Amino acid sequence: MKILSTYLAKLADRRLVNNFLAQRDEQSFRALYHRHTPALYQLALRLVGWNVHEAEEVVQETWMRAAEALGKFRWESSLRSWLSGIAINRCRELYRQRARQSHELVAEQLVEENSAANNFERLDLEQAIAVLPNGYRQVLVLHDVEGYTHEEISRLLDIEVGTSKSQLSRARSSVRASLQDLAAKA
Amino acid sequence: MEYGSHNMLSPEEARRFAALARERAPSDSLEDRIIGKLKSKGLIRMTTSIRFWTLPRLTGALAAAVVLLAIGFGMGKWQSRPAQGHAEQSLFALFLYDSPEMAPDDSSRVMEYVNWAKSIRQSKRTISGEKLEDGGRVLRREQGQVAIHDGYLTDEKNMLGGYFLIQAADFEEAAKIATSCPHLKHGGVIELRQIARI
Repeated sequence: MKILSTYLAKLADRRLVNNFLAQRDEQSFRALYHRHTPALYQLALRLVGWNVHEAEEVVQETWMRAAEALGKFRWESSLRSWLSGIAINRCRELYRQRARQSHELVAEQLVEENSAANNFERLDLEQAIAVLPNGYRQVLVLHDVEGYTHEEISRLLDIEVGTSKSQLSRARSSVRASLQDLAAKA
Repeated sequence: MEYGSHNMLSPEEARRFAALARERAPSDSLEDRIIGKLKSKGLIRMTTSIRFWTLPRLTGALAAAVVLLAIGFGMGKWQSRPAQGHAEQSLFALFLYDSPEMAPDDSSRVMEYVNWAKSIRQSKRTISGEKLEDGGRVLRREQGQVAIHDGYLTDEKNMLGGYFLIQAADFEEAAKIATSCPHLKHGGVIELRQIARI
């Protein structure tokens, strides 16, 4: 069933992309935007540690780059994976540019973004992920949240598979420690 | 603390990760900002200032719906009295869906829809239509709450572009009228539904 739904999703994406490339109009772009932006935005939010302004900037830059390069996309991966790759690259560029975000600011933005959920268990885990160092956070989000394999992560982040595995292991240990701290403070 | 020899996630940890949100809507303004930037770079073509002409994938039926208003068909008003010369009539909705294969509308196609609507009117049947504005909202329950997302409930093949309301005795007659709608000739799809009498 998953193979069929993946195939249908790819078919749907192809139609939307072909339509956009043929028309280059607002409506066809909006169809693509609505289909993929919520997932891209959530990915970006986690990767940038819940800085809303930066996450929106990542999404914006992703679509700018995608709109230029869509004509050359060869469908060797899904459209979602390709877009996510662009978003991940933009996040890495941001890491290099900015100073480290304070943990207090992260906690504040996390609560603000998740206040409707009222799910403290989820909040705690998001916070534990958000305060990880950039490299650990990237690998943990891509592997444990988004479901990428280590081989895929190594290609996306231009790191060795072994590096991806070891960073994941350290990230998980760090998250566990954070959750224990948060539970102790509760 | 390590779970297992390879620092695997425990079942409880895996459950918590699985429960994290996979999607989140950004601010409403982001979409328009991005479109503005894409237009300024020429990656989306600019459109004219007359709004209904700028709805690029909408069919000529939408333009026809605006023209219907202009020639006094009465936008959105269902005429409750049966059309002259017809037995008890029901009201049917024709939902006009675009398909990706359809060519962009032009003035000659618009006139086809207008002339079709006129011909329906001339057969003493009530007909009206409505224009759908660009943009929409999709509401559904997610994780126990109502979530509101920007956009459309877009089928991968079709997008709702507009609709007509027509009088007919029954489905058979309504379908016969609908088959003459130029929307089909241009590759679009029509969904025909009867309006319930309550």
